[in-house]
Amino acid sequence: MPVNKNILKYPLVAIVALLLAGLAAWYFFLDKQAQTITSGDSARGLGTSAPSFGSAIGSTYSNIVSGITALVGGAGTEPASKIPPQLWRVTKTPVAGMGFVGSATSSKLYFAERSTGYILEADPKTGALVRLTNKLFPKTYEAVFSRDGSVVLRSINEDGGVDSFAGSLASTSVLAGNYLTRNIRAIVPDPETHGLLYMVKNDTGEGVAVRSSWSGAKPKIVFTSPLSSWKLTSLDDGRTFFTLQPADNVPGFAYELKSSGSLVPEIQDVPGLTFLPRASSTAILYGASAGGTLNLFAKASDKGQIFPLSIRTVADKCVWDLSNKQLIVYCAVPQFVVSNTFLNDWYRGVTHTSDSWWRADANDGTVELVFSPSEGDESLDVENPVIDASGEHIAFMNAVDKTLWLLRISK
Amino acid sequence: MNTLLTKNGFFATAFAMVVLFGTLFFATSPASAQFLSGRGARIFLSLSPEHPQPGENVRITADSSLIDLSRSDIEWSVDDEIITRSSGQKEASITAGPLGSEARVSVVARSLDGTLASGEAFIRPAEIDILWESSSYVPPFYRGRALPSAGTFVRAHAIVRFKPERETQISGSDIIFTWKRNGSVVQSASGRGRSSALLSAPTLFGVDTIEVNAVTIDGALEGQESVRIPSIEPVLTLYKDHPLFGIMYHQALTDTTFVPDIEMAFAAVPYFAEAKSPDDPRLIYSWRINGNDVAADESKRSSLTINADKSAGVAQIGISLKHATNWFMQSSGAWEITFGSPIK
Repeated sequence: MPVNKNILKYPLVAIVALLLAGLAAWYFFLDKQAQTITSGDSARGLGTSAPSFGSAIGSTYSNIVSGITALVGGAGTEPASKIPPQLWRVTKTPVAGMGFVGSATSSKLYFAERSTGYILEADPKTGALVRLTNKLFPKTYEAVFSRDGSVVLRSINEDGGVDSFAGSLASTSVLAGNYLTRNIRAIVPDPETHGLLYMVKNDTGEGVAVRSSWSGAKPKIVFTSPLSSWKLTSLDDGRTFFTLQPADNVPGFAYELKSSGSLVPEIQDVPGLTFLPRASSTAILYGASAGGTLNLFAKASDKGQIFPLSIRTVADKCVWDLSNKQLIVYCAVPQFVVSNTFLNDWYRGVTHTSDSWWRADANDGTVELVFSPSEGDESLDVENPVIDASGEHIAFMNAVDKTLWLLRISK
Repeated sequence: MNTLLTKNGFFATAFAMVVLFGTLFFATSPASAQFLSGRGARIFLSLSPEHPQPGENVRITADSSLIDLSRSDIEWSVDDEIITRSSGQKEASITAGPLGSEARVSVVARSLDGTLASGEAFIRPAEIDILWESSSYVPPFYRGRALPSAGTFVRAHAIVRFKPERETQISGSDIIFTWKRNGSVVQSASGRGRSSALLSAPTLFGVDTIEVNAVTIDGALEGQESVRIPSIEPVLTLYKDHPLFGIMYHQALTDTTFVPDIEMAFAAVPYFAEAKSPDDPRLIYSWRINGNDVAADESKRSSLTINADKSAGVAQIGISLKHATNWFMQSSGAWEITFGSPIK
């Protein structure tokens, strides 16, 4: 009988030992996994201090891509709260759009980051940067601002269509709003109604221009066209213009949409037409691109004569100074253009320019150099220029990398 | 009796047709030229251009088969105001007025034998703009015009400004449009109120002349305009599809590009192609990397991710684009991408 007891005892001990060994192995295995997860989390930022809410170079740079030197061309931060240089590089990462908010005496530059859709505020006088919103809108391709700070953030959805979120700063860091109808082709603020003017394509392929509140409520069709390739312009004085999207050597047309719904021609049959009307006057500026040559023309009033300006650029690179009673327009002028189809190539991101800033008087056609980058400076390919109400600062994007820049104009 | 009735009916019909023809011929006044019976024989006036625009210089030429105008005293008037009077002057030039204006140009000639002849024409300026766009593909936020390539469509639209004197502008629905392509009438697109036309794009590298003739229902105003539309080859452009910023449409990759990362997604964009999107199922992409065929993700065939880890870091990307149903559509491109070194 004792033999039988031993026979049971040894296997039991062996089983217990195996169990203990297994548990120990399991413990070490889990511990190692936990370490891996912890290190992975650390690498992703777990446990690090909360991201800064504002910095001199934008939240994307400081929080996400500061280690990716390729994107920003080198590290380095610019201290806030100092008087910015005449040409201030506001961000080192791409932005989606910008606009001046406020009055002539206290104007701030709002902009939206391309990667996050966060709205930030830049003070042109002090150089201070503050992040205003924390609602994430990844990959925001376009941002449109109204003068009161409302914004439309536009992105490409999974289907390849366009989503447009119209929001306003409800309170601190909260961007309240809603999505507008899908696949809006073009959208601009409508200053007179504090709403929006946008273009969509209907089921039959027609272009339909709609005026609505900023939230998209009360949509009203103001114009229907068999074509949908229209650039919209809505001025402070309530006038609305439709310009056929340009292409080199292709006739372009620009019309004013009257309240009756009729189109009154402003410029007809100009190849590669880019068009820029001035608010509170009938002055216009337009560019032509044909045969590899750019030309810029101005007209001081609807009764006036069209005359060429001695600077060669496109109207997309110009902005009217509305603070000045004179008909002053600022234009970024390429030092040279290498492409024979500049507009097509520029819009595709194939060619870029190196620009200087010029001031032109649409009354007498005189032009004057305002700012030219020094040798060795980064070349600036100006797009989407906007000017503040006081006429002291011009903000623009560098089409090379979509970074945001601010130029102080010395009058 | 029946025969008599039939004859009477025939003569009545013929008479009515003559009256109708005469009425139409003399009463309707095209915007360009006409002649009316004046004193004595008639003078035919022709305008160049036939359908003048506002402010345009118009040359008027007089012609008569009854008297020798070159040996006649000729007096030209606009709205009863004499503008010139001389011997043998068969031509006169005037500037068309603004939209909505009407100028009555009259000419009176007296031949050597004293025979009088006169003619009259009305200049009613009209404007027509032909606008067009293509159905070809351009990506969202592209600020330029979609250009036609073989297999796509061109949507043309005529904006007509016909304004009778002291009246409002005539609505497009009251205008008869005749669309022509390279001189041939496009019946399916023409008709009353048909101010726009959907036309197939010119063939590869071809150029089509699209012409529209517009006339009011009563024939009082008429205009004509044409435009040349070239067809181009689709352009294949390659961009980085950045994980944070999305497709970087502002930075098309050049022949040689340095990418500082070891992995990057690339997006091919077929500008001006016959497609609804870059991943249109009719588009056939062939990706090659360093000479080897590479299969792209079936759900997103226009993009490809390359990981250069454990490699020399240089990738020669070649893309060939064809269309399943459009044999004329073909585009290709090649890029050399140098990737950065892996982070140690």
